[in-house]
Amino acid sequence: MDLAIFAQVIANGILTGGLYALIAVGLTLIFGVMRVINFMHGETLMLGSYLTYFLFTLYGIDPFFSLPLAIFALFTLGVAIQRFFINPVIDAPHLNQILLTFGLVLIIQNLALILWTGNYVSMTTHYSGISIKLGPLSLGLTRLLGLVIAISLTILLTLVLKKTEWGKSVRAVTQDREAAMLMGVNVNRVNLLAFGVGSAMGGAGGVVTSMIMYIFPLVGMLFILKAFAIVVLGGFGSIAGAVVGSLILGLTESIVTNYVPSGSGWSEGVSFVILILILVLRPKGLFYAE
Amino acid sequence: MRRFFMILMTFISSFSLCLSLCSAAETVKIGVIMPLTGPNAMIGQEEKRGIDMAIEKINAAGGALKKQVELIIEDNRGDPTVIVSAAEKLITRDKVVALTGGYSSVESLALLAAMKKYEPVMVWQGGGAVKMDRMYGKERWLFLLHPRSPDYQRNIADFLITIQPQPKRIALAYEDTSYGVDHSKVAKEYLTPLGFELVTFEPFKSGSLDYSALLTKIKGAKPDIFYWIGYAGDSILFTKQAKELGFAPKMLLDTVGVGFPEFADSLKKDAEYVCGIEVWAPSTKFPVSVQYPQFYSKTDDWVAEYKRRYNKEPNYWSIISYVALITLTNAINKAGTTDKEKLIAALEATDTMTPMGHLKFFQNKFGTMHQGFQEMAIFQWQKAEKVILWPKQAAGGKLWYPLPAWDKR
Amino acid sequence: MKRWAIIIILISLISLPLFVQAQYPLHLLIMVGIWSIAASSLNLILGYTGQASLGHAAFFGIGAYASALLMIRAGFSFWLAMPLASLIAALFGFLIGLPALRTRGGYFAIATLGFNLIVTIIIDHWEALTQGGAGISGIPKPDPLLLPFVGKVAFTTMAAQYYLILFFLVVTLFLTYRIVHSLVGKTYLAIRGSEALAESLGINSMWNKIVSFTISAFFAGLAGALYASYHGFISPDTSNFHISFDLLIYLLVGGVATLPGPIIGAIIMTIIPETLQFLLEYRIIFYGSFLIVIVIFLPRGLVGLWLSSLWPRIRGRKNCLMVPESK
Repeated sequence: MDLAIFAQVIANGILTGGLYALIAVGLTLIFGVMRVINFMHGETLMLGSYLTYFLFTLYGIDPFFSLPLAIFALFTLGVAIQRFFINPVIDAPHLNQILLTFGLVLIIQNLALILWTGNYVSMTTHYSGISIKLGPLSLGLTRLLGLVIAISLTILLTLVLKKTEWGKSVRAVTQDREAAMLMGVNVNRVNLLAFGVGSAMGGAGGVVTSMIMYIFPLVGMLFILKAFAIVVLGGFGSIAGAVVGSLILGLTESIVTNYVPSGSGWSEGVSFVILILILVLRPKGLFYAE
Repeated sequence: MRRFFMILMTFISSFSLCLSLCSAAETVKIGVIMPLTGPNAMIGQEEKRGIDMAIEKINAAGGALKKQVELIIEDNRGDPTVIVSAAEKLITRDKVVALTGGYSSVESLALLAAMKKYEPVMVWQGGGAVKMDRMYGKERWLFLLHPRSPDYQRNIADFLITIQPQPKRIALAYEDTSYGVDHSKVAKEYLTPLGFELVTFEPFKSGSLDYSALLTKIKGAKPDIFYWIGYAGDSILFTKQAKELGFAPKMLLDTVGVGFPEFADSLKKDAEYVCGIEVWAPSTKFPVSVQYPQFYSKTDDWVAEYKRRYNKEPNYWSIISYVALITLTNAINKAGTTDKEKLIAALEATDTMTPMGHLKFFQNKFGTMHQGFQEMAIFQWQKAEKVILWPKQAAGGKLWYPLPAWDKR
Repeated sequence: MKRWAIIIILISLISLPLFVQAQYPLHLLIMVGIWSIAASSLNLILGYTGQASLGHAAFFGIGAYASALLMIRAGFSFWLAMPLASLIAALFGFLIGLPALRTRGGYFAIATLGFNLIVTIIIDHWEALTQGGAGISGIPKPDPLLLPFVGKVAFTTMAAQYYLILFFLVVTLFLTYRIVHSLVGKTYLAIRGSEALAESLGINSMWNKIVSFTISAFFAGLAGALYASYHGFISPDTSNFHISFDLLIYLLVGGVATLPGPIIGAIIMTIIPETLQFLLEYRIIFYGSFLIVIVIFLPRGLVGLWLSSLWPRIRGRKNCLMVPESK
């Protein structure tokens, strides 16, 4: 087995895993705090991408600088959506929550389709197409930047969760909502901010994907199902679980695509086979704290 | 609150129900099925632009049989099951005179299977798979406009063989659903006898986020030409990642995924040198039609009008839908009736220039009685323009070959 | 009172083809019937047993493909292929339920969705068996039956197929009714209310959930087999997860854990898109808004609303019918 190729396969897997992590981390935060199955999370990615694209093509703003703007915009949108749409169904049966977020998906996706057309667009900055060579490895610069962004934001989020008051209340609510309420935690505020932060992470994911690949109204669909698989794999509410799950998924997809004949077609199913396997062994995910 | 809501919903539903059931003035109804939403929305939107342009001209010129033509448009969302219900509704409830539309072969096959029962007149621009010709080509009510997949591959092979110095090694990658599988098989059949060596023959999943593994493998096979069969998103990603990996074979070639103006807009200089093949390119120069100048102006004028209306470059899906609808309406007028047999005869008698080439339905080599177009244009992006290279008589420039290394542009 | 209502409805449904001859309305009714069977099947595991399965289209698709392949490849008649296909779907329900039902709530939802996606991918890629993305066409209609009083019935007319679907819908509803109103049904409701409490009463919740899931899969497969023969064409899209979501929507709009709920939901959700066809691409936006409005204002669906608010007010008393769900 060619070691250089193997190293490249692993490197690719890690880079892809980093991208998945941005989306999965936001989703697991929302899951952990509100136990809501949030189908519209993929749309935060899509909106983040389009925001970056328009800022770039209309005003010449580099995606790197769009990142804080996208984070802020999606945070605000997330808080608004939680307040007006998610909060009413927080104690409703799963069916209702799922269909509510699904309804939001239908609206957002099709508004995007009508406003921005279905055409595939992309951005080319002066640093697109550059590769960093590390020995036998060739790593796309934009993907590396994406990984750096993912790592930074995840570390930032973990610090927030560990050190700030809000972070502690988030962890409390994730562990046991009723107990947290009894302890005086303002669960409403926790929910609002969690949904905002989660959506902001999704938006950041959109900034990264817009640099790396292409944008179209249904781009969220490419990621949302994998994000679910990762979150379930890692355990609801566990940031570490989301990161580990993302890496596992990224690596497995890379290995299957490269080493299994016609693997590309099967790698899509890989995420769910892994999911099922893990659930059989640990029904609450890898990192769920019992 | 709840009661009010219930009453409101009932009101809205019954109101809409009445609206749809009450018919307006007498019109000639034509059914159109397009993927307006869903994964193929981009194509559906192109088709709709063509159809909108056509219907306006048709009705301004008096419509059909001295009545207005009414289009009943169904969105099939890119779903083969929906397309069948949509068609059944158009035929049994709306009682349309004929059907037009379509996009993919899979949907078209599903639809044709169900349509055998009704035998509607179909002037259909969807699908290029030869399976359609084999299974339904003999149906008299079917008029297929789109070139077949062998037409793509024959044109590509004939073009590649003219390149000097002769390329020999082709790396072929194809998306793994029926579109890619079908085209890749046919490509092999045309390319191998001409002496080309297919150094790779790899499937990939369209919509993947990372093609670096595939590209690395292909780069390692040292091909002269990297020829992929995929969709728009894949083409963008292949080109971007080829640059990242420093993979610069002598030619980058795709089938349908690089013809969209956004490809060049998005990738700017990186899009240059990429070749593709299309049913039609806006830079072709067909003359005005003698019989129907009000509908079929010369190509330049048609493109200019499209750009005025929509502020966009037209794609071939717009014009093929335009031609489909106009062909159908012209035939209805020529037949003087909506009677099926007379309409079929009138369609068979179609013989006119259009902005996308001469249209006269002929029997193709794959089993279809009524084939519309088979010519294709091979183009290359040169300085943000689609320059036609093939066929020779339509060529507007010379091929830029070979591709320079990415950092030497 | 209720019995009279049912008899009247049955009589009108049976005599309907005498008045409605037009193809298209019959086609709509047949599709509503098929979706009602599928939605009722989901109602058993989701509505009555409280497990939100997001992947029911998998069993619908398995039933469709099993029936089609048995008829085309093995030459079976529909009357043998359909029950076999339903049993095959049930078997898959059992096999998938074993690992999946060890999870709960959101985990279970995503796990079932995952299974649905895997099934679709397998159908798409296993070309030797399923013909892959091209799908299977030319699926035969049911063979003619020799019925008492009526003589030989060929299932080539719309009316005949309408009766076929109606028959199976009634059978499904009847069996569901028997299950729901038996001790087993009460057990399911108990599990839905609180699994922990049910276990403390000695109920083996895992076993009951598996049985409920298996029976659900059986009827979903039945609906799929009926669909395959009616439509004549199936493809991997027949198991697509958007069908799972459609079924969920029928349950939401109609009302979970009610017998007429899935049917009302199927009727409404088939009629509304029809009337809004003129909206084209805006239709989906309306559809999404409609969903949100229903979830927020009519969370129990129409039948739920009727049972809990409207009917009691008509009768003049409160009805303590709904069992609260645990999370």
